Amino acid sequence: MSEWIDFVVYALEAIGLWIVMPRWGARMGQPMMRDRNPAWFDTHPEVIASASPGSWFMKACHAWCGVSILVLLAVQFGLQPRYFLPEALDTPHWKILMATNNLLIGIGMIGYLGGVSVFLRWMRRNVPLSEHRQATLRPRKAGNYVPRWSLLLVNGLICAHLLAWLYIGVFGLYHTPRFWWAFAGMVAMTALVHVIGRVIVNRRPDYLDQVAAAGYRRVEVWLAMFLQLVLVAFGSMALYRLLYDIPFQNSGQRYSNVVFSLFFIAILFAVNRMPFRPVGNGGRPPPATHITQ
Amino acid sequence: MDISILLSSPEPVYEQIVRQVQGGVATGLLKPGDPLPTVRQLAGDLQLNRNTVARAYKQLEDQGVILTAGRKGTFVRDDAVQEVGRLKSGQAERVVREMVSTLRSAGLDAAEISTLFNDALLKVKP
Repeated sequence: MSEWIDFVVYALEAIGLWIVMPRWGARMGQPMMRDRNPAWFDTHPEVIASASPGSWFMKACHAWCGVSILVLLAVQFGLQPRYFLPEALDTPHWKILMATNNLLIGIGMIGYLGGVSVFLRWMRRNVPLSEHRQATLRPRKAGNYVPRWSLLLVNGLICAHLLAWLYIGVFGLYHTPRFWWAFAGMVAMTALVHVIGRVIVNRRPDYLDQVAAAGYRRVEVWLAMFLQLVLVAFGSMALYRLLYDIPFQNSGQRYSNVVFSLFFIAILFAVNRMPFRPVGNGGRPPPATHITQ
Repeated sequence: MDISILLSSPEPVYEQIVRQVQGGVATGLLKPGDPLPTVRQLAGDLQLNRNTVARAYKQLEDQGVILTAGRKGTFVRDDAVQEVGRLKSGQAERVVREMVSTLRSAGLDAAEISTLFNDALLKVKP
């Protein structure tokens, strides 16, 4: 019975990824063109109309959603794909369902990103960059969007987390030879999440800020900080396991995967409900700054 | 404060940036000690090459308008208002000298040039 819960979560994830996300992405097309060149956008309605998100792309996404759900359903009913054999004989059913879902998402993502890159290439070729550009002379910092105490708290936790790893490593308190590899992975993940946070703050005010509700970047910065906290939490759990040589529980992998999927679905649906501002403002350049203090 | 650039303008882009920062300081929109965005941020926002913005910042630094303090960032200098004032006076003096030189080579004497300047001052409203 509980595997049906996994199936429902993965099916919802497929709907979020291949129906909700493309629909939201399609709404971004015109704002992206307008952001690139507002004056051109206002004077070339025929090109804009011709560039409306190709129905083939939406149909392909919807078809992939259907295929994903059907394949997951087939796996749920025991029709396991051949590529899992012979390992599948000893593999728990939920694991096959999870692996199938990850594979379907991976293939779908390659196709989706391919479609997006086709659109971006078309836009770079057909929509010239604006002659008139505007920018703020105020520096953008994470502190412009979230309270300073929250930044100090998150950065303090990250430092404490990495120092705890180092302490355990240097004093040899671990019981597994994999410790330093795990530490290297944790440092790499921390650096990656830090870079994501920096990119979010440094991103120039673009179509996302124009179409989304006010304070959109603030939400992004909070999400990046939340991601950092999640990493610290997972890192601490991993450290605890490595410290006491507790083997990774299969059920833990399963539940963390389902929880992650639910979190991802929630984000997709929340983003889809985000109010949109209408595009087109008489060819004026986009607002230069959205910093609120 | 916002700045805007026009790529099709005959004025080079880096000079447009320099002029607008100087203008901001002169009008008080940029105050001494105010931080300025990094070269990367400004270049990204204006969708320009970083070298263009770096060149503008270098010129402003050489003119004594801004100060780059390593990783702390770039700031408007404490004496930026005076420096911008000096720059403007220098520019005005150069323009007047060139004009006087042109008028002298056209055969006008000092009294005539002075009369012309006084008339212009009365006729051209600020």
